[in-house]
Amino acid sequence: MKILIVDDFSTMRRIIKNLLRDLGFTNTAEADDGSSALPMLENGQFDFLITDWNMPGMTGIDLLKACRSSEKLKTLPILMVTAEAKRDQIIAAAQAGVNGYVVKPFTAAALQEKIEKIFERIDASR
Amino acid sequence: MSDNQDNPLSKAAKGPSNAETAALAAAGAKSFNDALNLHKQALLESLQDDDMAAAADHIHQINQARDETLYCEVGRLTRALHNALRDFHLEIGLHGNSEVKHELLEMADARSRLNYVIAMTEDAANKTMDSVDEAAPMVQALVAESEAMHKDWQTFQEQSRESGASSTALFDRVEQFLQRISSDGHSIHTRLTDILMAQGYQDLSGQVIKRVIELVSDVEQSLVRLVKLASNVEEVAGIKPAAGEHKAEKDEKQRIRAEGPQINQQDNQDVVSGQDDVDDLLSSLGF
Repeated sequence: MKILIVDDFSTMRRIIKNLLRDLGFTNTAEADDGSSALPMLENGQFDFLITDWNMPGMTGIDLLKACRSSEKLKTLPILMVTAEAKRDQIIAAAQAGVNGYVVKPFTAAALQEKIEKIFERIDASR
Repeated sequence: MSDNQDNPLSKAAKGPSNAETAALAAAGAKSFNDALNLHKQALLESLQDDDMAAAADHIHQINQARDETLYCEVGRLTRALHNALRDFHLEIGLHGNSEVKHELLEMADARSRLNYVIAMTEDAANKTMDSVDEAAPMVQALVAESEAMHKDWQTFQEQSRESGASSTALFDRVEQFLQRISSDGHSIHTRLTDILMAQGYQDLSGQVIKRVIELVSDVEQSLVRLVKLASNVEEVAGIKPAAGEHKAEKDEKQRIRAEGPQINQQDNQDVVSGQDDVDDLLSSLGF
C-alpha cells in the first residue's frame, strides 16, 4: 500500500505520516501542492491519496478533478483532510468524486475510521 | 483606557505623538468654532440687511474654515497611524535582545513579521514531533519487552511455587510492575499521539496568519496612499509635513480562493460544526 500525502504545511504532512505509520502504513510519499503531486501520481504506483484543499499553486479540489479526469487515476481512492468546512465546499468535493472528507482539526480515530471505511468500500466493490 | 500594557500596539498608540495629535485636534475644533462664532453674527446682520454678496462671502469663509479643519484632521490622523506603525516596528526591537533586535530590524513590514511567527511555530511543532518520534519507539519497545517478560515470569512463578519457594511478596511486586509497564506504556503512547495531533494548530493558525498577512498588506498599502494624499492636502492647507519616509508599495499578491479554517463556526449556517456534520452531509449525498 503506497500512499501520497499532499499538504502545503510540513507539520500536517508529518502528523498524517505518523498516524499512518501507527496504522501500519509505512510506504508514504509527500508533496506540497497539487502541481507537484500530479506528476508523482501519474508516474508512480500510488494506491491512495490524502490531500489538503487550501494550497498555493494547484489546490486539492483541482487535484481531485485532475485525477478524476485522468484515465490512470480516475479510480484512485482520495481522502480530503482540510480546514475547509463550508457545506458548499463539501458538496463540491463530493460531486468531484472524493472518497472521504475529514475536517481539521481532526482526531487520530476519525482519520483511521475514514481510511478503513474507504478500503472496506473498495474491497466490497471488487 | 485600560489596555494591556504588554501590547506594543497600545503602547505605540499612547505615545507622546498621539497626545500631541489629540491636543492639535482639539485646537482645530476650537479654531473652527471661533471662525463659526466670528461669522455667525456677521452673516445674520448681512442677511437682515439683504446684502447677499456679503452673506455668501461669510458662508464661503465658514465652509473654508470647516474644510481646513477637516483636511488637518485627516492629515493628523493618517500621520498618527503611520507613526504608530513605525513605532510598533521600533518598540519591539528595543525591548528584545540584540540578536532578536537585529532580526526584527531586517523585517521591513508586518508581513514578514507574521511569516516569522509561522516559521517559529513550525519550528516548535517540529521540535515537539522530533521528541514524540524519539519517545514513541522507546515506549513501544518497553511495552513489547515487558509483555514478553511477563509470560516468562508467570511460568517461572508457577515453577517456583511448585518447588516450595516462599518469596510470594517479591513475586507479586514484579508481577504488578510488569503489568504496570504494559498498561502505562499504552497510555503514554496514546498521550504521545495526542501531543502529535495537537501540533495541527501550526497548520490551522498558519492558514489564519497567512490571511491576516494579506489583510495587513492591503491596510498598509491603503495607509501609504492616505499618507501621500494627506501630505498633498497638508501642503494645500499650509501644514508643515513631518520628516518621514513613505514605504514603497508592494506588488499585488495572489489571492487564495480557498477560505481556510472557519473562525466563527457557530455564527455561520453555511459551515459544518464538526466531523459528525460532515459525515451527515456526505451520507445525505449518498456516501
